[in-house]
This record gives sequence, C-alpha cells and structure tokens, in this order.
Amino acid sequence: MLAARKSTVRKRTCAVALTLMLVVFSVAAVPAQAQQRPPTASDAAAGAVCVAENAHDKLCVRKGRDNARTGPRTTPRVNLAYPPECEFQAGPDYNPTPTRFLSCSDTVWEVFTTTTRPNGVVVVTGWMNLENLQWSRYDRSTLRWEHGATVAVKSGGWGTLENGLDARVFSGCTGTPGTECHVVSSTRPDGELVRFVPRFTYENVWTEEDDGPAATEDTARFEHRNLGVRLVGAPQPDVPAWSFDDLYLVGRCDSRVTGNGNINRGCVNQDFTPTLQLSIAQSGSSAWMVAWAQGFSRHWGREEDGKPLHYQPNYDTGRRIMCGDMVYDEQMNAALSQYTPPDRDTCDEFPFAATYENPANYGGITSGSQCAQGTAVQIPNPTGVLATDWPNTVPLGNPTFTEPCVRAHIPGRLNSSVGGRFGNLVTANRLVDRDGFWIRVDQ
Amino acid sequence: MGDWDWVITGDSPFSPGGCLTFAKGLAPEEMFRAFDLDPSSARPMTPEQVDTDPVLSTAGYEEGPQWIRVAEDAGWTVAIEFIQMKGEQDNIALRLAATTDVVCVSFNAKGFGTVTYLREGGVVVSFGVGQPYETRVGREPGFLDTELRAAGLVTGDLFTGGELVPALELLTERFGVRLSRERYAEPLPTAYREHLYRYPLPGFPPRS
Repeated sequence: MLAARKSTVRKRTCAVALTLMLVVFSVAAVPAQAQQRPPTASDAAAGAVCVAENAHDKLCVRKGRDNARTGPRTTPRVNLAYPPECEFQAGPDYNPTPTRFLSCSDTVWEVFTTTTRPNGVVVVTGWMNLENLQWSRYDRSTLRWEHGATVAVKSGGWGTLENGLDARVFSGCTGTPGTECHVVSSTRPDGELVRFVPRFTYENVWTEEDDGPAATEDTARFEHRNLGVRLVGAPQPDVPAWSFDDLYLVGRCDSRVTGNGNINRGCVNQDFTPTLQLSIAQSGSSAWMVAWAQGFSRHWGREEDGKPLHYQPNYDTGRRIMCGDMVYDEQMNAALSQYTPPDRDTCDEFPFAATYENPANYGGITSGSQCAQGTAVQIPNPTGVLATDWPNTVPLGNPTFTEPCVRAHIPGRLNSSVGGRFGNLVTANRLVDRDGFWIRVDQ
Repeated sequence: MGDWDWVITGDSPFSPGGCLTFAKGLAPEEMFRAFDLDPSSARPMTPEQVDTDPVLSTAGYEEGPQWIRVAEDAGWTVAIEFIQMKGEQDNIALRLAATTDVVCVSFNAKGFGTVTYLREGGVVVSFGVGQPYETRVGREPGFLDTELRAAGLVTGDLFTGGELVPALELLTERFGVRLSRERYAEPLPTAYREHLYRYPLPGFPPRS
C-alpha cells in the first residue's frame, strides 16, 4: 500500500484534497536509520488517504502533522526567490495571506507505503516526505498571475521509495475540474516527469490566467479556491499509479465596465482584508471622528477588537437618512469661510454610508439624529491649514457609546479627504460588493 | 442617456472618486503648470493605459505619483484626476481662478461631492452634491439658484442636496463645460510628478 499524508502549518485551515487512483507495489522493510520519526502503522489509519491499493498493500498520502516542519528543513537550493512576505523561512509558521496580491501555501506531504501481513498486522514499508512551497502573485490590472512552486524531498526515501518517487508535476490549472484557469507559460514544461529523490528539489514558475466568467463577461467574478500543483505518479516498479493535488492557493478575478466602455480586469487574494489607513495629520477631525467611533461598543472596523466593515457600492438612501435632517452649523460655516478657498460644514457619518454596517442601509435607523452626535472644533490660534486647525471632534449631548452610528459636523475638505482615501482603497484593492476592510487611524 | 450619465455607469473620474477642474480658455500647458507638472513630460494616454502603467498604477490618494490628464472641449480645458482631488484639496482651482473662470467638481467614495464656480480669484458659489442639506457658500451663494431650481436641487429657498449628474448638467447648461465619454476615453496628454505640490508655486498664476 502506498500512502501519503499531508501536514499543514498552523495557519492553514483548508481540508485535504486528494485524488484516488490505483495500487500495486511491493513490500520492503522499514529502514532502521530513519533521520526523522518514520510513520508508524497507526499512521495508516490516522487520516491518510490511500491513493493506491491492492489486497494487502497501500500507498497513502496525507498532510503531515502540524509539527512536521520542525524536522530537518530541506531549505531547497533553488533559483527561485521566495516572496519574503510568505515567511516560508521564518520558522514553523508561514503566512498564507500576506497581502491583497499574494497567496502562499506551505504543505508537507507524508507519502508512505504499508502492507498488511497475513496475521493482520500493518507494517510501513516505505516513506518519503515532500514539502511544497507555493505562491500566487496577482496583479490588479490583469487576469494573469505568477504561480511559483518548489517541491522538495524533505526527508525519507526509504523502503519501497528508496529509489525515489516518479511523478509528473502539473499546474493545478491543467486538467483540474473547476479551476477555471489555464497555463500561459512556464519556466519548466508543465507536466514534466520528475524523479523525487533525497535532497532533490523541483522548481517551476507558471504564468497562469483566469478563464472564468471575468474573462468574457462585463461584470463578473470568479473565486479560485483550489490553485496549486497536481502530482501524478508515473509508472515505476513496485509503486502503483497515484496522484494527488496540492491546491491551497486562492485568488479572485473580476471584471467591470469602465466609464469609457473598456473592461477593467484583475485579480486579488480575496482572503486578505485590506486596511484603510487614515491620518489625523492629513484628514483632521474627519479621521478623528472615525477613531472616536471605533471606541464605541461595536468597534467598527478596528482590527484589535472589532469586525471588518463591508463595502456596499450600491446604496440608495444611506446618506439621505444619515444626513437629511442635518442643520449646518452657522458658526462653523463662518469660521470655515475664512479659509482659502472657503469651506463649509458637512455631514460626516460612520460607519460610512457605503458599508453594510451603516444602520441606514439595513433599516437600523430612520434618521441620523439617532446616531451619536459630534462636531469638529477649531484650535484657538488657527494656522490656515484645515487639518491642523480642526484636528478633533467633541460630542454633542451625552453619547452612550452603544449607538448604532456616529454623525458629526466636519469641514468639507477634511470629509472629502477621508472619502478620497476610501476611494483609493476600493480601487487599489479591487474591493467588490461585500468585501471586508479594516480602518486604522494614526496621528 | 444625457451628456453626463456615463460618469455613474462605471469607472469614470468619479467612480469611486476624483476631480474635474475646468478652466476657461487656458492652454493645456498652463493647466499642467498649475498642477506643478512639466508640460513637456506629458504623453498621450488612455484611462486603460494609465491603469496598467507601471508608475501611474501605483498612485494613491496622497501617496505615489500625482498625475492628471488634460482635455480641451468647447473652449474649456479640463484637468482630469482619478481618485486624487488636488484641484480642490490643494487650492489649484482657486489659483487658476486668478486669471480665468474655473469650475471644479469633485466626488468621493463616501458618496458626496462638491461643485465650485470660481472667478476673479475667489469662489462665487460652491455647493454639495449628495449632501441633502444647505451647503451653498461663496461670494454669491445664490448665483446658480435659477439653474439649481430648474434641476430640482432648490425648492423654494431650500437647498435639497442633489445628485452628481443633474449638477453636472446644470454646469453644462450655465457655463458650457463638457467632457464626453468619447473624449475621456481618447489618448490625452498625461503627466505626473513624484514630489508634493509646491505651495505657492513660483511664477503661478501665469500672467497674460
């Protein structure tokens, strides 16, 4: 029996995906001098998926244990430069979602063979550990991405597998049902036959391209949840035909119509939640108001203790409900009229009207007067710079800090400044309906 | 479909945010200079080319290169900003108004914007769109009331806010400013700078 099990590091949450094929191979003795703890017979019954099997023997594959990476690292001598953000070489953990445009995967696969003796005892007959390091690097302006991978023999190579394991390595975009992508090019041939022997590392970089609905339709998106590599066992003595998939990279491609009739297409790692960074120095009281609101019981969009906000591009009445009964502050308008150019009091709201968390969008309020109220205040000796002169807000009335929203009088250009940054977040990260984002306010 | 409906149908200068700064009769070179850009560095680019340009595609709101595309139409020259709003935020519109009539329209992802008409170095009138309460300010807050009333943005004496497209349409009606979808999609002279806006600009405004 040939089996393999796969080990994922702590940050991984995906389930194992394996493809079953056939079986046949011979029995060999377990090596006595294994450098790392070899699998025991109980491993065969502990979550391994046997991808090849006959009456007595199996070849199984499964993810290794969580601590599998603590063994001797293969640290392949590769020509590829791993994206440092993946943190592949930083210790037992790695980062599967380091940025909006990068997806990473580090998986240890324990491949082993077993046989069942006439007395019913299962004996491990061969063993090899593979470590797959992979990444997909996306671009917000194209449906193509770079997929890099190394497959290294981490340890083992004993018994039935002492002469190596022969396999063809394919991009997951090749022949995997439901992947909706294809290979454009690669540095080594896709499907190349490779012999995995101790100290060997396979490396390849594919250029892959989405061919889901975003490729042909005007406004569409497709979530790739199973990108990576497929290993397909090649015929070799004593090893049955087998294959398994290592498809733990993710990405999402979308298309949208631009104002000039072109189609804008691109891809992101949808599992990464971007952060809108605001600065009181640049956006003054409008940024301050957000920070104040994040101190309320719901901590909207604050990563330390809250939940992300979710972008709602098409909202009808949010601002009308939030701000429709706003009465501008004449004193503030008089003070703002002294600026160059003159500015005005505007209605600022949080959570933003363009989020699902704004209560006007889910029927949580009928008027912005039901929000906690605040107003920007001018410093005693104004400088002429709005963000400097109107740096913070003060409450109007007595907020309970449990209100469903905050509304404040804010100088118009400061309000616009936060709106501009929000727009940049939307565009730069290809936010689509219901995408989450955090907000961080700095000094 | 009206002249301006296209700006809310997809990625336009205002989706999700940006700014149009119109200056009457200004040479395109002077518009670049007003934004502290070297006109000789301008090269024709479409919005799509900007989107995939290795430099310009890195532009943020404040961070990264600051860039504009410039078009001429019906006697007006317009600086087109996407995401960025230097025309409004950095007082460029006001400085342009020292020598000519200026119309500045900004809109942002929070769902509101500002329309400003400037002349003789000052703001004649400025009002909000997507801001359903009184926002008219300036030297003559009632300057556009006839048009605002016709567009349904003023009822009686009450400013009721309004939407972006009717506001743009009344500007076309009153001042003749235009930017068609076709013109916007054309390759237009485009320039950028990496440095922050220098305020005040040496030698600006230009003397005629």
